[in-house]
Amino acid sequence: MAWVRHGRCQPNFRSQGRFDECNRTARIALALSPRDPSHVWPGRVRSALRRAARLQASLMAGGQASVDQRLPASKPLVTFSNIDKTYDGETFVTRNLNFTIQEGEFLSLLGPSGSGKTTTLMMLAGFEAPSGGTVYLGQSRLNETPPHRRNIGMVFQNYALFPNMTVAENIAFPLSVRRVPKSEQRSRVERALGMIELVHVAGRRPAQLSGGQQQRVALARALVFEPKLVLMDEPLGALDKNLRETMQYEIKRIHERLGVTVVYVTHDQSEALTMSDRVAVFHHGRIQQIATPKILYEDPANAFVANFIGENNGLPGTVTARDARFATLALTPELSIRGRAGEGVAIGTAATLALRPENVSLDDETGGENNHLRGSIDEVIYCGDHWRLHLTAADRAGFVIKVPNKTAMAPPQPGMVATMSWSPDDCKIVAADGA
Amino acid sequence: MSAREATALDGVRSRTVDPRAGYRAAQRRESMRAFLLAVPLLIFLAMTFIVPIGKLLIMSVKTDEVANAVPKTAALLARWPGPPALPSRQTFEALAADLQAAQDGGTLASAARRLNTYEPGFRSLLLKTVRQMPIAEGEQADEALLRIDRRWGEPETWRLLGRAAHRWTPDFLLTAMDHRVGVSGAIEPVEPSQAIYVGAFVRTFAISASVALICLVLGYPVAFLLATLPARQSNFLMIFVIVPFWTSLLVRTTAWYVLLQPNGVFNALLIRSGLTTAPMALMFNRTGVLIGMTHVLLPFMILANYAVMRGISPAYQRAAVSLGAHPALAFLRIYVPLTLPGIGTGAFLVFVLALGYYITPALLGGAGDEMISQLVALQMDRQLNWGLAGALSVYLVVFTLAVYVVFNRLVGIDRLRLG
Ligand SMILES: Nc1ncnc2c1ncn2[C@@H]1O[C@H](COP(=O)(O)OP(=O)(O)OP(=O)(O)O)[C@@H](O)[C@H]1O
Ligand SMILES: [Mg+2]
Repeated sequence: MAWVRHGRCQPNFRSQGRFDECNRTARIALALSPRDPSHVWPGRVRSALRRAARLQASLMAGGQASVDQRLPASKPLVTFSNIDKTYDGETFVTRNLNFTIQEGEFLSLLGPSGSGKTTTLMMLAGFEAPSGGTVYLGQSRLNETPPHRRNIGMVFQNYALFPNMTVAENIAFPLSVRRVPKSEQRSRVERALGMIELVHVAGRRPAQLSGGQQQRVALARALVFEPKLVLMDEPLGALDKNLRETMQYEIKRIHERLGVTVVYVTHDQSEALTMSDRVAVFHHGRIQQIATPKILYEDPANAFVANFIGENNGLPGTVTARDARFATLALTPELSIRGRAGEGVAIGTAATLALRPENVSLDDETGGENNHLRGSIDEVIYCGDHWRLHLTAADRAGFVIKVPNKTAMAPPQPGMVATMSWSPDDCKIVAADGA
Repeated sequence: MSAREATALDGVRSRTVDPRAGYRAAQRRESMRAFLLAVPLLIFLAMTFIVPIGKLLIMSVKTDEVANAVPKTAALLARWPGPPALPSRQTFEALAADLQAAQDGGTLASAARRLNTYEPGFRSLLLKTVRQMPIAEGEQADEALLRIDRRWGEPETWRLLGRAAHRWTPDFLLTAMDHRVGVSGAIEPVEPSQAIYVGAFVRTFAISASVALICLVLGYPVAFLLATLPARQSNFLMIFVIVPFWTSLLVRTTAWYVLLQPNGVFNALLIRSGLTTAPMALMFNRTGVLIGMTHVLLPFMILANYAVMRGISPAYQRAAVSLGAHPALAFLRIYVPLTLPGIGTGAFLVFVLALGYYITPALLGGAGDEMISQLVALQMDRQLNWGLAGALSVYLVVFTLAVYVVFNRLVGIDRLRLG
């Protein structure tokens, strides 16, 4: 079983740095948000400003506000209720989906290929009909509304810009089918082009734009008719890494500025975690967990989430004891680990350890409460700010820990036997793969 | 160091100094290779296509039957100022001698046929004249010819003979446009009763355009269906589009001949179902021509559109619908414009192929449905007037090229592709 999921030294969201970056993004977004509410998308701006004010307050108060606190306490916009979907009448692509999308939030659908993310999005857009269950928009049933009346903006993976129209005509399309007067169309297209900073390419055809520019035009086209909800299906999938990061920031900025609700499909976990207010993790057509990035990472609901999000030491075992908060997991008859108890963890059942590599320390100096584990070091990788060690522990190879690097420190050596320790609060015992 | 060594070194040095030379040599080798690969096809094309067409073009402006048959007369007539005066006595003598020589040399018949296209009755005049040769001793040639036929006394007869004796002539090209050089030497329209070619061209274009339009109306939805169905069903249906290609044109046309007869299958069905009481005229008229040609040419339209439609991602229409367009509006504003290259290619192909149609209108059409190819064939093997056939063909080629140029402007020929 591959219970260590990632390559070496890969920079990812796990570092505190990423979370800081998130907050930085939020601060920049605030600075960019319009001061004159009567000017740009008046309805949206009011709520955006409210959100911004709230966020600003929390940033001031907490100094280092956590991402979670950015979540607006708002009302549900879309509700999926017992949604089943099957294409062939036999296999369910999604099974009993229940979740809500809050107004103004940035929700990501994250999951491996074929887990039903696109299908879920298509049911929301109206291009696929659910086989069972109801989709609500606010209080009203949405199932029978045809896609063109749903007023949901959509950004497709390959942008789907109309090749026979110029950039300006593309952006004006949703306005022209809504019979918006020509003069208003022009001013709104201009404003949208200004927002994506592409005024100078208004007269070009999509084929004459770079990938990132096309992406931005697709975004403007999906937003120009002021939909409440915008869906994006892997919108950055075709871009290279640098451009991806720029566009992530751009999308985030626009989301903050307009206060629009975004449902974002991706299978890039760092993208999902850095951009989203909440992430829904899909597997086999079910939502394994839907939560804020922080909860998802630190408090995974089950072994799939723990292993799929970030790096995990997912040692398997059997639960031998549990109380209200903690459970004990026997890895081998002699070796037990104590950690926070996850849902569905009962004595006698199989369970998995959820332990992040950065939570383990190499010495056993801290109190007797802690978990201890001995392992032999197989490999030592220098990563600048930390050492990455691969160990064999509890009879299994592939245990990964990260040791902060200090210049004067004696580097760990392969072949050494190391004692590791971590507090029960820093790990979790979660139900084994139930999906 | 010997001289040879020195030059060899020079060669090496120049090669290393100028890398472009090596690149150019490689390019030359590459284009030589490409040329050699294409040589068999080029030879084939030259022999079967370029040479015959070139001959046809030359044929439409060149005529030497008369000049070869009566060379001395031709030379003299070239210097004759023309009506109202008669040519010199010398010319009469030359003609008498020429005709006799032509009779013996066997060139008279073709010259007579050629002259008959200028003036019906010219052939009989020549044959009648030559039968009375040689002229009696002591009689002047002009008097003798006038005695044989009074028409030799009319300057118009000589003018026509003079025109026909030119080796290069615009007359076929003029005739094909229902014009001729009149008595005064100016270009004038022929009498309405003989003006048939311009009408035939217009008819040919009208029929071809109608066929292209009908094919578009019938073929576009089918192409759309084929392009949007799942692969298995679309491949199955595609067989029905391709099958007609496996059958000969003549067989298919004959099948329509049987189906469309007044007491044929079609009319029987119509009457049986009570839609009509009397048989409808479905053939030997424009209807028959259009049905037959549409059937033959429809696959081209379907394939041309299918090829383009296959390349259009369904995401465009989804995007349009998600942006608020009704599916019908999305189809009209997004899908149809994207298929314009297919529409253009299909229409162009069908139109151009229809321009040259011959068998189908001949079998299924009536008296008023003759297309230009039928007239070309008629001139070729009935009238043996190859010059006129060539001239008609030249116009057909020119008009087709003109259509091509217009099409290229509108759609762009680089988009022309099939399957
Ligand atoms: N039109 C369809 N007909 C039949 N099966 C389909 C159809 N679309 C998707 N599926 C199946 O449904 C399952 C889920 O597909 P979906 O496209 O929702 O996955 P996804 O999570 O978006 O994956 P990816 O990350 O690869 O895009 C897959 O097993 C797929 O084969
Ligand atoms: Mg997908």
